[in-house]
Amino acid sequence: MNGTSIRDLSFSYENDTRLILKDIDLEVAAGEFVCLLGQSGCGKSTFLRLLAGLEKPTTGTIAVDGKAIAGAGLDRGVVFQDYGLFPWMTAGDNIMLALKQKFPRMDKAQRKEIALKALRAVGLEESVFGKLPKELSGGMKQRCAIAQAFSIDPPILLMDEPFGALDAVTRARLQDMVLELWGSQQQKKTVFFVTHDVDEALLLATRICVLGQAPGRVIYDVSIPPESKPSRDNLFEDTEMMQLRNTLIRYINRDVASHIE
Amino acid sequence: MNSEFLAWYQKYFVKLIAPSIVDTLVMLSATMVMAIIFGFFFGTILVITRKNGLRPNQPVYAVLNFIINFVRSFPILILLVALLPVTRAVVGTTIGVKGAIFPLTVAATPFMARIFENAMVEVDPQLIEAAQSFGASNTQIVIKVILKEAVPSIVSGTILATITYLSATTIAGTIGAGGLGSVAMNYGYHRFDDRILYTGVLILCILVQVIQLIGNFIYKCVQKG
Ligand SMILES: Nc1ncnc2c1ncn2[C@@H]1O[C@H](COP(=O)(O)OP(=O)(O)OP(=O)(O)O)[C@@H](O)[C@H]1O
Ligand SMILES: [Mg+2]
Repeated sequence: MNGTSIRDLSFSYENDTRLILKDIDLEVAAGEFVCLLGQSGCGKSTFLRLLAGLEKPTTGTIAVDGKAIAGAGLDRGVVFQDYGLFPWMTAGDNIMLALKQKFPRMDKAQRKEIALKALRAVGLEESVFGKLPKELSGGMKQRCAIAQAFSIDPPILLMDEPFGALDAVTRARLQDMVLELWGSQQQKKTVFFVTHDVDEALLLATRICVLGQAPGRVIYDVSIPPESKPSRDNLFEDTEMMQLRNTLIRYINRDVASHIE
Repeated sequence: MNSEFLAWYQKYFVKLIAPSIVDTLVMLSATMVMAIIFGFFFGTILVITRKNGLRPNQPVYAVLNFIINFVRSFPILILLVALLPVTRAVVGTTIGVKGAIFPLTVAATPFMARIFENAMVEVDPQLIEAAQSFGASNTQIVIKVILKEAVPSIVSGTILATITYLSATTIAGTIGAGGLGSVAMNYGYHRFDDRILYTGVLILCILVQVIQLIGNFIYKCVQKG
């Protein structure tokens, strides 16, 4: 299941009257891959934090399978914009800790095996398992965080610019990996994926939502049916996709024009 | 070594100063152990109930915050004197090592509470959120994330507090607590015996150095983790 419905969601941070998100209504079916686009500061991370249960809606509700979410939970895995690994534990122990939370009865050897597999899946060497976060590069830390989220295999995955700190090659590799992880399972995960990169969104998403500026609200919402999803090779040859690309960029920039005026 | 010094050494150092060192160390360690326990308790409550804490509770925070500031606003000597009746009621005596531990603990607890609070507040909120997203409970978060991450700051704060309250024990010594402070004051200062006065001072200096050394060593150990 894990369909998500967001109703009349508005949000402002405590001690700040400014409305960050306003009247967001979004019905996301199980298995959709939703990419969120929008200018910096429009509230994408905030929206993801609400979905994660780390903030409470000011008004409106967020429900998973018809049940309003109450706080953070293991059914929703989060990959933060800036990692979130515990600095006093090795990368491997970080992943194993998450596994222990999710599967309290799993034995250590099995957890280790899954952790190593997850590290390999994000293109990291096994030696990373024994390294502390401070001994890893930014991109490696980010990949560990991704490996961690994937290893606990949550039905809903929330990713906030997870590939922001990566080079083009690693980025492409991880995009493929995310797609594979999302699509290979019987029960597809529901993914909310924040990105600044329109091409990344086109490549990954089955649905793209553009958030407008101040307050953040959905100003454009488009579904890309699986059969017309482009592959990495033909993305730039697909005229329909290129048209959509232009439309998206126009929407992303639309509010800026009115801000500058 | 001349016999005059030996006689002095026998009479004052062995019989007077050495036991007073023990008294001072007993007072100090008992005070610090209690202050760490209570300070941890109150500091944790502050961190949890503060705005944006794990369980914000404005009234609890405000009251505790006020009490801590109130106690801390007393100069140590005034606080010790002001507490005399309470000390008598609670421990039955106001003199000696026993009479000093209670008021010193009252004085040191708010200090330690602040040290715990400051150290724990600095913990990166993202780590707490990461733990929450794994479904960690508030207790788990406090013990396994906040405390763990705050240990180095807590250790350095505790060294600071230990040295501050070493000097507080000597102040307590002047109003009947015993220990190095009282020996230096009563036998050294009041009887014009410079040898005792400066021996006391020298020993205090050595104690401070030793505490700092041990503290630095512990700090290094916990930082590696
Ligand atoms: N803890 C906070 N308290 C108050 N305001 C905040 C807080 N976090 C973010 N904001 C404000 O909310 C708005 C949205 O921030 P958010 O981080 O959600 O933007 P974003 O779309 O993720 O931006 P970016 O693309 O740069 O990551 C910003 O104006 C920011 O100043
Ligand atoms: Mg963001």
